[in-house]
Amino acid sequence: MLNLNKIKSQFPLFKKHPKLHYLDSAATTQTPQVVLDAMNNYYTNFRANTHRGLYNLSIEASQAFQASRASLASFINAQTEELIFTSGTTYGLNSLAYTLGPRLSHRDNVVLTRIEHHANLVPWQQMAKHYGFELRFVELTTPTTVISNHSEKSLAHQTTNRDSSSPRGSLGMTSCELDMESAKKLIDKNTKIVSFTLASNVLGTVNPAKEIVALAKKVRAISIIDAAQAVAHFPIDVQDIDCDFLVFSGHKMYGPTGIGVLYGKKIMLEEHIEPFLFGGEMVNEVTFENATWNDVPLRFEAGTQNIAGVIGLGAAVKFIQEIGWSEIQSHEQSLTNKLINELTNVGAQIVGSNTCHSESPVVGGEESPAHSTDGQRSLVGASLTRDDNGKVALPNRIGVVSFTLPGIHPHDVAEILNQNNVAVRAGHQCAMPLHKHLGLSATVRVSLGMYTTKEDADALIAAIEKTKKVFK
Amino acid sequence: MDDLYQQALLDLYKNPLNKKPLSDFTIRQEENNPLCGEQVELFVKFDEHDRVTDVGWESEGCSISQVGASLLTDYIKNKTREELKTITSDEVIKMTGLNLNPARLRCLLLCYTALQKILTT
Repeated sequence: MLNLNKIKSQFPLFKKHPKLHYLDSAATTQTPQVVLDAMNNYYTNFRANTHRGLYNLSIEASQAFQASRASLASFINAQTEELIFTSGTTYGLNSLAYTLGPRLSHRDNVVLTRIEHHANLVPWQQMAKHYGFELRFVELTTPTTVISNHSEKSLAHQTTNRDSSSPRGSLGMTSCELDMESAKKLIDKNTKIVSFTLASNVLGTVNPAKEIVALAKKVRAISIIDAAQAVAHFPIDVQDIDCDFLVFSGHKMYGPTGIGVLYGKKIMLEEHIEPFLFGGEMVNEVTFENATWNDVPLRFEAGTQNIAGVIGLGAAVKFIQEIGWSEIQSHEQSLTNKLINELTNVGAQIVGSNTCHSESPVVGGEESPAHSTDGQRSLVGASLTRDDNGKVALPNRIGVVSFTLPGIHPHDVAEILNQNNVAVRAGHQCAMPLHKHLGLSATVRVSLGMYTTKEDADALIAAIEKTKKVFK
Repeated sequence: MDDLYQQALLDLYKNPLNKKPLSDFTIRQEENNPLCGEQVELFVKFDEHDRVTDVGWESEGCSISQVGASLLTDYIKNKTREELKTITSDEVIKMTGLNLNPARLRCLLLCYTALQKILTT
């Protein structure tokens, strides 16, 4: 088990704000001291531009920069030259849309899903307007209905006794998972790109990335994965998923803001996409008339990079790896289940799956977690599940839990939580179409990081009780 | 900050003023808050002298936006279009007596923003 106090003490912000219950890590995670130190070390001890100086400082900066690239690559099981630094997920997705969009015509389609963040929707929408291709959206398994208020008791009961004999079946009505039948129908011979989120920033749902990528491959479509919400919560193996591109942000994985990663398969970067920004360092030879490109990945990194950000992100990777996925996942999964359970008990309507577990051949064919006497759910097998090839199994959801409280607007909930030092997000979470699709105008979202504690969850529940009293 | 949810304002939230759609109106204006997806719909009826004879609004927003819409719509009754133009956002904020952060100011002033659009058309 994680030594939580020790972990929290690594994050200076929590020293500054000892009463804070930070439950908005899906928006941005806090920064550990080692990341701050790494950046500070660059700024104070070896600041120089990378790749171009022949003097020692520049060589040192370049080496640190490249070491970070190698760490990031190994973090997602990619080759070093497949790793491009960007300013973040939004930049990565936009650059792909801008690069790939113009190749499409009115005969083509791009397949997204109903649960995309605006960053993986609006760029494609804009390209579709310019180039006339069709946008398609993979549906959710069932029309997601928020459980009605008066059924909360039976819901709590069902969640803990989930089996096929339950009158309402497997709680599919709240599952909020992608309908793979819909994906199979929508991805056809005219599909040129399939772009989807690995983990939803609203529902917490983790999508079956390998299956979707396989469908894309069948029709030779390019596959793109938005891993922004996933990257800090479970291991990602790009070779296993076999996607063409994958993007994420540093600031959602305990790294600095303004830095992110665009992974592209080497063959994609070398032969299928062209640079989308031009300038220094991305070139090989320049004349007044023409230019040739540097090698991959440098041709995609024009201009001076966010060097401190890259070095900080490398430190964040090391930080995560030192703690280990097994610790992080089991801690976050049990906390997610505690949160969902207790939120349901105080009358919150969860938008998304009601349990968090690893995809695994579980005991007795029952896939929901066991229920312990103190009202908390413990995971079946807290250690990581691996398949026959030793690959880590995906969890069904991450610790992003959206909910509504009947009769109280999410903004009011968030405001009173804020008065009680509980920081959450309220609104449409940059997924306005999904909220409309679910018949919701707004939700409250709580989201976990490795440093989130049971006390944070307890403070949330206590503050929700207060909120209910104010609006009684 | 607990004042934010003081009883008078909560009462106003639970029993909002002028919260009704008008079937007979001169102008109707929608306004959105992209932060939370809230939408307010403001209906104003002017007479031949450009004086407000009736006003109504609809929204499913938070308490702050409901309070803002209630207070503003009550305040503009029987005022002329020219008089409406002189109402500042600070006046609306003062009506509530609240000290709001910028995000919540947007909630409070959603209906006011709709009114500004009516006045410039």
